[in-house]
Amino acid sequence: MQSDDRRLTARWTRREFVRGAAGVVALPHLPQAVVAAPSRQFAYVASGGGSLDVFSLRGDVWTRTQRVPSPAPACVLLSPAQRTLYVANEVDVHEGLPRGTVEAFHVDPFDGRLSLLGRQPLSLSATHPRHMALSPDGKLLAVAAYGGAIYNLFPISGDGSLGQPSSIFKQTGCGPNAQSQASAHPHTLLFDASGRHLLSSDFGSDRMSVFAVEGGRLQRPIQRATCEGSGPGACALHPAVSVFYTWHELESTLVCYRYDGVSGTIGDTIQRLSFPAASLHALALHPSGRMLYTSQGNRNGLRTWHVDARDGRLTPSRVVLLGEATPTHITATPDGESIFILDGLRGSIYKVTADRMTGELHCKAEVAVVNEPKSIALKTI
Amino acid sequence: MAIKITRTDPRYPMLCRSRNLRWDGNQAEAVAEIELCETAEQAAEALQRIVNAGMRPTIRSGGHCYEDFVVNNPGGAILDLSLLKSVSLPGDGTRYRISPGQELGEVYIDLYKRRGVTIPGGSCYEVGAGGHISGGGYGVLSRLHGLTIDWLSAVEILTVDGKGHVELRRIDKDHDPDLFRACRGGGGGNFGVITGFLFDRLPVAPVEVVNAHLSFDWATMTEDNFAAIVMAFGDYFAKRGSEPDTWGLFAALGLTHASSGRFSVSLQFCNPDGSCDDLKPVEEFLDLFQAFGPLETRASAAAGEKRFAQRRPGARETLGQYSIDRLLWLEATIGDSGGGHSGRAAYKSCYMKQNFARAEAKCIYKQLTRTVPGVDLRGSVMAVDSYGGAVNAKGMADATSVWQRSSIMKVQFQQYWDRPEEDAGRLQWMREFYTDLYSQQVDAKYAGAPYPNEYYEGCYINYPDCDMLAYAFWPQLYYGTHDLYPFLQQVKRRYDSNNIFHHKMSIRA
Repeated sequence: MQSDDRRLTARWTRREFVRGAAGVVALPHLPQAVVAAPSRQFAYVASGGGSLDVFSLRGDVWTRTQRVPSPAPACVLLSPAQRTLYVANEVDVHEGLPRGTVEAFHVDPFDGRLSLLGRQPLSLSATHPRHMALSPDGKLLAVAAYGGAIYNLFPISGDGSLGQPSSIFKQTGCGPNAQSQASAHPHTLLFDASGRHLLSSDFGSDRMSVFAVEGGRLQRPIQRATCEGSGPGACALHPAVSVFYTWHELESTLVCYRYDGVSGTIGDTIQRLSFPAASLHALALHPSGRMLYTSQGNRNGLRTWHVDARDGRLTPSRVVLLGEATPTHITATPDGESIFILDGLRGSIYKVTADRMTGELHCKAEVAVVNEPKSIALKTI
Repeated sequence: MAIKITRTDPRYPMLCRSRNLRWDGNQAEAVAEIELCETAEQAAEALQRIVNAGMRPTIRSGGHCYEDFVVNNPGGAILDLSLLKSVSLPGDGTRYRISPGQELGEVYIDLYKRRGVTIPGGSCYEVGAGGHISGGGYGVLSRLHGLTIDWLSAVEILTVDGKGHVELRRIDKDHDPDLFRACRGGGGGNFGVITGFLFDRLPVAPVEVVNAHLSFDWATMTEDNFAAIVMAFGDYFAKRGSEPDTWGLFAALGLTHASSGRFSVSLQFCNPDGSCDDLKPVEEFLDLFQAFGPLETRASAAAGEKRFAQRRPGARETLGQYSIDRLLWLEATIGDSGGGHSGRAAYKSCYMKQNFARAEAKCIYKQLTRTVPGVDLRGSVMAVDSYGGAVNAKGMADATSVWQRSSIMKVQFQQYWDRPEEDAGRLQWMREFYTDLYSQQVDAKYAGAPYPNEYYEGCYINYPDCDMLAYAFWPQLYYGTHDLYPFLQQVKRRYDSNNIFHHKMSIRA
């Protein structure tokens, strides 16, 4: 349980400083001189240390330019125009009430610096928000509160700030695993390309849901039960083929479901891939839709999967080894040229170069060290 | 099928309202619907629909919740039990049933006329039984007969299981005994929807009572006299009041702000056998105050008489040269009897284990005579009720969820006003008063609240005060420092694992 009552501190630790410096020095081919031309690429990292770390990017050289206090940031998202950063604060109490919060930050278009637009509380009992999704038009922010099992939909005004929740949905359910499935736990949220449907996985109730989004409100969802005790978690939606990928954490399976974007239903299982009992930490799809990336735990590196363009089925490609790293979060940049891998345990952030057309991975480098990185967003415009 | 009231229904503006107008009129926080239920079956069906729809249910019986635990439920649904008034018995030997929608006045009348018994209440006639009993059920006869939940034999309650299915349970000391204990004073809106309170026995109603009333003039009141009056009241209940022949004495010290002109002592009394044959305790109690020159001594209308009648503000309009009042139909027709309002209001509470210390009495005097420029403090009262007697019977703390069983007085701070623009000044004064008073005899780390210690037993959950949420130790104020709150959290996890029932001060598991 984390409360935001404590005073926020945003100090750099000696370990981060030393490791960060060492990491930069150790990488080959890095320009050592300070470059005069300003960077227009910035990365925003949610740190378990209670801050947002802003990095200016020049190739594989990341320079931290700002550290902003933020209570327990768990997920960061940039608006489509990349002018606003949204942050889910994974707290269970805000101003004495049981609820999490979301923050909106204005992103300076020139130096990438953040300035707080506002902090908006979630509805009552919506605690520990961990995941969010932005509608394609950038007008709605959906938030999944893992703790309170509540979805909130926030309207976004012209300046990027958030209004009060326009829609609240309480998820109810449980699974057979008394330890981790005593109640519903919304895990991951995704809008489909049309923006008319919001898809979610629920780890606690073994269920996936598709909400119709109409007039800024979540309509009662069409729900699809998964195997009892499977614990659906990280998921991804293919941009072209109607396939929804979900990692079932408790049964260690990666399942490809048919998705009907017209009716908003998750249908038959196309493929089920089982793995040795090991917790998968992350899953991401390349923007081309031709490659899926998964991580299965400590020292197993990053596994890549070819995606069949006809039916979305997966075939194993290769494994990118990352030494001691345990990837806990994977993000593909919108342009498809890079994959960022966060090691939440060791604090490392890796960048892997990707072929923008195929998603095939090439060079990798450790680019930054952050205390417990949890989520990353990249500004490229 | 429950009666479903949606925003397009002409009854919606009336039924979505709060009695406390501080919580009224915020459309962004308003419920989407109200489900009026006449039977437990209707309540079960409506609750299932609400849960399936992903809405948050809040529960209303009489609608007297001090805070916004019911009406501020954006997009949610109020499960309104005010029509659930059945007194039919289950046929299993249970002798009495109270339904949550019955108002206390109806309960008194029904039990008295049918059986000659009563619950240990006696005032607050329009308060719904559902919330009143869920939080303990304390009233004018509590010193004589304990709390209503002390008499409770079984409860019928709708719970929602982990899968989201509504089920009706009949719980007692042998069936779901943990949930039964939690329902004996743990507070409303925590575990499920109570549809019936069942009793194997209840106390016999008194044959007669006497009421008396004293008032004192603020204009001539000195700090010394004020302290002496307050401490005489407290001293009586710390000493003489512990003797059983006085347990039929309920007294209330109504410490109004000096701008109100007077403050008062009221009492109701009967002998332990329900007669008024021996009035010596009344006389000796009233004698305590004669030295301080009460303005008048009279019989009051009732010990629990309404202290402040209010009319909804903002109703007056002009129509050309004429003044008119705009009122909702039911309010205009039957006023407060139909679930009207109490104006704008704020409340705080404290259980006291000992008489007032002199420093406390002086602090109260200072705050009640303090004026704040531009702030009208009429309508403010620190109501000190007698407590103890049968309430403090051994063993009931462990059998119920009311742990405060050592107190001799129970304090309720109340404030009533009309205009929204008065909110800030009045609330600030009230908070400063309370903080000042409860920083005198508590450890510095708990300053500002009556944290349980040798002087205080925290606060009453049926007088909820969200200001206390500023303190991380708020659960200890309401549920004590021992194992009660962890127990209630365990019950919450077991019977409401999805936290379907929640409000700002509900049990946080």
